[in-house]
Amino acid sequence: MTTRAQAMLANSWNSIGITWKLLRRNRAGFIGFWAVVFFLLLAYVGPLVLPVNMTENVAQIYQPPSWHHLLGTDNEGRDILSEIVLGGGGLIGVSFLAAAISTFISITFGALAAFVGGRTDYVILGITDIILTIPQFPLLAVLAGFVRLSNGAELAALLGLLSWPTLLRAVRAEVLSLREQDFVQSARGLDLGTTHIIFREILPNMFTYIAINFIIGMTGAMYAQVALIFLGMVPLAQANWGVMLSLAWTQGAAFYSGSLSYILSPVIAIALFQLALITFNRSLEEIFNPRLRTEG
Amino acid sequence: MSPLVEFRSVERTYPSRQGPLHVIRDVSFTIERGGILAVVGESGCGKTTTGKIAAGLVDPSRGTVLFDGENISGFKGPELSRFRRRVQLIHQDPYSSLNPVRTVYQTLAAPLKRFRLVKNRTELLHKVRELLLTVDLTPPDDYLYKYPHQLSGGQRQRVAVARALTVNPDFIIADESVSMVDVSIRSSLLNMLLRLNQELGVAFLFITHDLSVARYFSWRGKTAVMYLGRIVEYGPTPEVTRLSAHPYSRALVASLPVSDPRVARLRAQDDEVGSPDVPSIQNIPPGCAFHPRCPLYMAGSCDRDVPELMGMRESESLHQVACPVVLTR
Amino acid sequence: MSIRSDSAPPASVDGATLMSVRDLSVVYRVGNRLVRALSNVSFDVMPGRALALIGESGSGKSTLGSALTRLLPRTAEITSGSITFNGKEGRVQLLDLSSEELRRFRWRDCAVVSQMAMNAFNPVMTIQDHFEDTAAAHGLRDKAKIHDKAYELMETVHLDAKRVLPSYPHQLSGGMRQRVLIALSLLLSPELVILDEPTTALDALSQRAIIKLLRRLRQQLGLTMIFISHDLSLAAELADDVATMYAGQIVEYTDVFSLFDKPKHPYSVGLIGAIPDLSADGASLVSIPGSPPDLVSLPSGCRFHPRCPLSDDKCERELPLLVETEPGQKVACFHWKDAQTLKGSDAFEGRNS
Repeated sequence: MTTRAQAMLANSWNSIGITWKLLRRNRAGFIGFWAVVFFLLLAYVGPLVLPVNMTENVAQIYQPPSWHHLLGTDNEGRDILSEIVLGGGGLIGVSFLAAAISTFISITFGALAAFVGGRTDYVILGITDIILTIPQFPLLAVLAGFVRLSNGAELAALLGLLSWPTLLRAVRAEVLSLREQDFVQSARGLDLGTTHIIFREILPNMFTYIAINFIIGMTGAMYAQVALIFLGMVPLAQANWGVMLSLAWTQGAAFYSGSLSYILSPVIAIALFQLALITFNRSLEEIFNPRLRTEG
Repeated sequence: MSPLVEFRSVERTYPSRQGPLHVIRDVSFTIERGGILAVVGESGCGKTTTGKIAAGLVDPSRGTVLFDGENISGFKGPELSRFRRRVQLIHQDPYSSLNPVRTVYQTLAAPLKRFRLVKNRTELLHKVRELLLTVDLTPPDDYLYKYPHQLSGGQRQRVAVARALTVNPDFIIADESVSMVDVSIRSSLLNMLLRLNQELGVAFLFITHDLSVARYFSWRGKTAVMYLGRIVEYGPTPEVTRLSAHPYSRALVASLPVSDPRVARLRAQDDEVGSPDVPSIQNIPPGCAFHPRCPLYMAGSCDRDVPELMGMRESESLHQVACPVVLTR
Repeated sequence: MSIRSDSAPPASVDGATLMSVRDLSVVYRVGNRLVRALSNVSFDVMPGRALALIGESGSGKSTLGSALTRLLPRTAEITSGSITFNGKEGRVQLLDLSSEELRRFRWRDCAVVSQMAMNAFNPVMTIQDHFEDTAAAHGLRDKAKIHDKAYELMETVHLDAKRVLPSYPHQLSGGMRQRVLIALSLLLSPELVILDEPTTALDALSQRAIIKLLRRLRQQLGLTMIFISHDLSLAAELADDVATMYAGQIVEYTDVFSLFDKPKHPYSVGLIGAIPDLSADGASLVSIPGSPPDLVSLPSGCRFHPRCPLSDDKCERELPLLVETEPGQKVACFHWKDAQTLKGSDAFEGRNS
């Protein structure tokens, strides 16, 4: 058995090697990958290792970028770079959670609807269509007004619970076409069971698709969050790129010539992170495709 | 002892705007344990539906299908699972019959693990190797961790056959299983399937549009020729193909390929068949469905009465044909 | 030899070829990999004769068919060779033609009947429209004249012109569509017609009808034809000459009677033995072990050697060239004299790779 264990170990090393190779294959995707890693480090490791300082200093309001404050200071004299470092985690975390919730709902119920069919399909599709016809953002804004969104998890749940219908319909369509494939019919003929068929035969064929939609879901959740914060619907006290943007606006930063960096910094951070995600996506496509995995 | 598979006047209709579509009608045949039946016909003859009904994937609208003496539409729960495993279907298209994201090993190991047909991992690997050897994929270790796209069409069909064999079936339905494979590989695939029949005693329902392939595969078994949903000729393969009686079977035999250009060129220049095109099943001609194309057509009877399958000779009813004109000659 | 009466005159000696292909090589670039679809293919097509290009998937037959009319996809690249067409209007070098000249060449001199009878049609145009469009594309705009010609061609291919011409493609059966395509290809009276798998997608009886139609067309119009098929029995029915292709090369080129009487390449022997014909009552069919090679990494030496029972060290090292063994017969095999010993079903057994 040891040889087998060794073989399995070698196999998994080999598989990591191939994944790495595929990751490097697409240049844009590879840059995207590093950009994503950079942002994650910045947001989650940054606050622990960088000398962040959020103390107010009225003497230093709207300082332009300098050696001391690389991105300048805000309306209360705080260091903008520190705010950027501290303000990413919440936003990224909520987006990730929201995308995870909506993807989970879409896959579970989309696959169920397609695979079981009949009345189940009818009910799931009905609910989906109803939610799909409601304008998303106004509903979100209204709900945010009613529900006290005191923490990120609740906000993520709200965002996730509203953004699954499109993906659900797509997953359902995909599963419907896959279930007619000969290999799925053969798996049924072998009586391999519904769980095996959905999770082992059908879903692995949709990984690329799911990964892409996950990322699209994340970008959507991020924008929705920023918009909600910007409109002041979400009372989040801690530093956050969205809050920064909102404050910059409400505090009238736009009217001071020295405040350019205060407004632009969160905008650029959000835009760059989105860009990183979208380019990283290209590499994901290659990684999940078995045809590319096994090529020389 | 009852035959392994028996079709009794099986009919399947599908609703459509123009009224019910009769995909197959009054189909009856038997397959013995370890026997072979080839079903031959052109597109729209109902041969694929026949296969799906035999596999339990489609229910008959009328008539009964017996498996091991029991009506398959009565199977439920564990009985149904057992039936599903005893009957395996091998599809036509080698490019869609295997899951593109699963390796050969994963594909073959799944059923073995699920039904606890092996005791441990060592035995599992051993069994998978053995299955690959059975379908002539040698050496098996070369194939274990390959994905379908790394295999040729013929190799994929072999893996599909190996997958069917994981559950030790008694009956395999091969629906055009060799028709998309290259000629040079086709015959070795056929020979491999025949070996399964002879050595493992697996019974076959072999569905094909190609009479020459059917004839080769079922030489020791039976052949049923289907036309627009009905069996028009049925019997032991040598008789059906050498002494074919129905005008349609005769036309099929006349269209068989020959590997001699002289013979090919001397063949009757003007064949029997009127229109070369099969009518659509939405519009099946009345009476004998073949009458508009038939050289023996007799007005007044062929276009009115649906002919029944009847024994060719008084003494022996094994070779049956559904054509009164031929029978009364 | 009365049987040959329906065939064209035998290959002429004065070299009056209609089409002559020399040293043609085509590669496909897929990513950074090179697929060698055709390697140094040479052959001649004599006027009035029918040549069959026979091969399995990956043999290069379809690439060759597309190359003959320069219809190759963008990823393909002709790396060497020439194609000369010697028609009524003089000699042309196909590979030097401009796209405008090529367009004229394609219907007037050489027409193609493609494999996918359904895809070749525009689904929203009637058959009549297709005839008018094709004619208009070549400067013929006299509708009455085109209509007459279409009528005449419909009769030639045994279709009811009154019913078929106003129909849409989906209203016709597969066999009828195939016949319409053949009629359409004859619209501008080409000298050469290339047919790619003319019977493959059809039912048994429709196949017979198409074969008979093609045979009659050759007799009536004296057309030169090239068939591309995986089916050797189609060659037995229709061809005068057969080029057997394997892994991007012609391995045997001979007249059809000699091929079936005395195949000289082991691969041809295997292919002929694999036809389950009427005489093979329950006898075992020949099966060639292994599968055709990957065109990205071809075997050394003779490309058939891993599957060949006659192969030896030399076959592994050296690539055999296509050499003439008798006038009009060529084979690319070091052991062609022994090929006859392979007849019989078990000759290929015992080799597994």
